[in-house]
Amino acid sequence: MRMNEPFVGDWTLDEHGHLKDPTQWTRAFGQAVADHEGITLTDDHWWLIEWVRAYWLRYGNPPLMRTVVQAVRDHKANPNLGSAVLYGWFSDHPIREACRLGGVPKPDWCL
Amino acid sequence: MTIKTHSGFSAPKNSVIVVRRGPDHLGFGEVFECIDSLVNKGHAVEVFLQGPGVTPASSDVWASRNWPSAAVSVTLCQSAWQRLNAAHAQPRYPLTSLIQVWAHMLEATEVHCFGTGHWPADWPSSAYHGANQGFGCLITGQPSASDQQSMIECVLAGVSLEVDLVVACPDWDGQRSPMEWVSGWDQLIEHGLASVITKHTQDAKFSERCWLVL
Repeated sequence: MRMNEPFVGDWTLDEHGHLKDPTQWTRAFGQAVADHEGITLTDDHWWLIEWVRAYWLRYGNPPLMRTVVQAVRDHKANPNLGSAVLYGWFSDHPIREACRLGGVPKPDWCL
Repeated sequence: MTIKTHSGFSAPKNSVIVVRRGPDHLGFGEVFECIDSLVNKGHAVEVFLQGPGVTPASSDVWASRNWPSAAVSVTLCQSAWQRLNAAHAQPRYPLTSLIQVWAHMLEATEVHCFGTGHWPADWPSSAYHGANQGFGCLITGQPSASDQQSMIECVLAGVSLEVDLVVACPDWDGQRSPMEWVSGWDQLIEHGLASVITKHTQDAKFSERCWLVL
């Protein structure tokens, strides 16, 4: 079965490039995906990845952008930050990217 | 109320109807009655099938009606269709997102929602007086976990557009929920996304909101 499925390292991906079994996620998976795609992950990336994953585990869906922005403001103790800081970390769909690297399934709805 | 433009023509009246009932629901006929009434008033009606409103039988039922295509458009919730239709068949109606529908609801002359819940008999009237203070989503009964998930998605889509939105759960006493409360609801409170009204809430100003009885 594995031969016909995409994978990174020892992890099997689904057709959307997300970890097929979210329970198998570890930081090593996120690092393997980043290495495979030439992405350098900083502490800020990891904070976002792990925050989004924790939110999904808690509530069953990824966070809204406004929720993440508030969390970033709290995390950085800077009430003036906006979504631009997230796009500075992941230039294209930061929450979706955090889901992908954080072993969160691709949301099947539109937020 | 008729809105006149500068040119003297009446502004078009657009109504949005959210349908969260399948054809087997006892009250399904109310949906068609509402649409007929709006069409007769000259409204362009956008019907959005969401959650339990998207069923294998839905398409045939809706296609059986003979409304003028310019008067009534039917769209399907993209995520509900994806979940229902693992075979990836082509839908009979266009797919759309909850966010798009919320954007249309904000501009609509009238908004109606036909869900599985009922407005509590002991609550103040939900009659909307056009004060346009925001929207409310009402949850009653004991919706299944999957139905609750589609309700949460509906609420979060509105919240993402920063709609002034409250969620009313009259059967909830603030301590124990009458239903198997899925954790997704907690994010509304814990992250300040929407207010939750219970039967103990004072001065909820029901008449200042347009209510979606989910």
